[in-house]
Amino acid sequence: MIEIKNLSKIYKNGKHKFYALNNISLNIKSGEFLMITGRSGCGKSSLLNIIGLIDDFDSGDYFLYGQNIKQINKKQLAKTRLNQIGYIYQSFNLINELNCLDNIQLIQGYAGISKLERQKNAKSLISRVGLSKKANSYPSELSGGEQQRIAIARAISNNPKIILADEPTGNLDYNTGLEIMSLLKELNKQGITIIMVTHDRDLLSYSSRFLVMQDGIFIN
Amino acid sequence: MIYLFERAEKRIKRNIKKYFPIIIQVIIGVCMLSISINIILSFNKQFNDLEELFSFKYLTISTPITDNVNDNINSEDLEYIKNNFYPISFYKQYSYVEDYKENFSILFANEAFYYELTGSNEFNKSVLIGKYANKILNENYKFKDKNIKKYFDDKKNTLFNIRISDFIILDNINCNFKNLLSDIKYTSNGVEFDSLDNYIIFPYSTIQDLKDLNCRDYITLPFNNKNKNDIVAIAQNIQSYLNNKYTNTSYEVRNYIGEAQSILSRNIELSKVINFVLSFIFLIITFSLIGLLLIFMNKRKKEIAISFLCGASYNQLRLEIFLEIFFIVIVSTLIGNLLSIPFLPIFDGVGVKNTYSIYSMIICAIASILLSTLICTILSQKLKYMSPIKCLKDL
Repeated sequence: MIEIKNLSKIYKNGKHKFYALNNISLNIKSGEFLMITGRSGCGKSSLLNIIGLIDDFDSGDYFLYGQNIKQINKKQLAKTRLNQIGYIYQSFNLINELNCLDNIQLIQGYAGISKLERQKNAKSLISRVGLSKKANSYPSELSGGEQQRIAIARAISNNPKIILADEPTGNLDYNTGLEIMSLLKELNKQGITIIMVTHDRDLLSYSSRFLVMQDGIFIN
Repeated sequence: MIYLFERAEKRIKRNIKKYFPIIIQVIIGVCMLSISINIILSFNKQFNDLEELFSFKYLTISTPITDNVNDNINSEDLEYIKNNFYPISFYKQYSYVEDYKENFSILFANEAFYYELTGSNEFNKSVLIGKYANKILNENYKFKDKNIKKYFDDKKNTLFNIRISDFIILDNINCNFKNLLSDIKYTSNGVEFDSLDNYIIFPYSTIQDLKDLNCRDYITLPFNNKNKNDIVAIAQNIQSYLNNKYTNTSYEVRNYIGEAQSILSRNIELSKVINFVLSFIFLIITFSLIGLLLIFMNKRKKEIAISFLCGASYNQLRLEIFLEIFFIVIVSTLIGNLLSIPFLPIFDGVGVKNTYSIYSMIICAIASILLSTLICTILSQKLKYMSPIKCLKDL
């Protein structure tokens, strides 16, 4: 499903070059729950951003469902993000001016789904993450765990094939973190490929495979 | 598209307080624009009215009618004027009863006047009456002025020995009063034409036996194919000739075209100044508006980043921002436009009677659409440099 060959990402600071990703290769199969772990600055988030099509790379190849990402334009990238990938972030990234239902409808709105269908889907999703009572609340009125649940509901709203999660439990207490992990595991069981970045090695047990990164390369 | 419109609407509702300074700026800007456009349109209307008058040029000589026949201008004088100053082919003569207490005006006019007014010689011997004057005369009117009352016979129902029922109502004749130029009033609000509704016009011969009426005699000389400067020079020559001949009477020579021309040129300059000043203010407001929106956009980086992550394309985000700005600007334009209506009379003192024109609303709407497009284009340029990863890193 995802094939990365000799991929490098370089940050330049004047004459100084820093390899965030150094000639890495990776294959991810459909239905996997892959975790990437490592210390801060090892390049795991850079890799996730490249896989999620929100950042570009300097060399190598990235194939998503057999299509070379280098050969598709910005509009197609946006369409792929919209239809195939869901994002979950440590800081939840909800829009504070929209209530929970509207936040969940965001992706479907951009996908051009009708209002009636959007609302119906959003209600079903919010009930799926157990927050039906908070449907009309705004993000500022929710706890961290609740916000992350809404973010997950939004991420799966367009039935993506891949979910990218960047430290999804990073801002949550231990128990809430476990609840979120259970939710992700459940989604994985339903066939969604999950690629998660974490520095918490205790969570590795939820994965079907994990990779450790250091200085832009995989070390296991 | 519908979703983007819904989002724009929701965002405005949620951010109405943040948008308030922008909305106020647009309202003030559009209000000023609307006022300036309305003033310019009012000036244009005035210019058109005056231009219409310029097609036929007049010089009017007036003097009070006295018992001393020697003080009155006569055919010999007109012959002299014709031979020495300008070869006039005809002249319009009328006497106007001044300073009396009636609710209607009385005029005694010669055949040329009748012809000018009615376009034919058919009515030369008739009395013409305006519809308002006709109405009050037929409602058991009580004459107030002693001099006029003398000539009214209530038994025979005649005025100056002519039966009121024989008067011809002016409404029934296709009148061309503007060309007479006899009743133009120059006020601080510009040029106003008097209506003939409250006039009664008698043949000039009627006045020959009515010396006790307080009348002023007017002789209007038409000038064809002459420019303004020529007419002014001729007017000065005629005035000096008349003043030398009739030392006891003060002859007033009025050059209506000259007066109209002077008002016109003053107002053209004035309209240019108003145009420039208000356009300048509007320009300042436009630029400050763009600045404000750019600041506002910087504050919304998080939302833009999330929208990118949710798969929004560059065009969708651009359209979303455009709809939001467009909505604000159009609503503010409407309010600003309506707000300009009560402010317009304040500017009546600039030399024209200002009236609200629907064209100003159309022009303002077009200007607002252009302004929205301009702002959106500038903001789009900023949006172009916002990639999802850049926005994400800024969070």
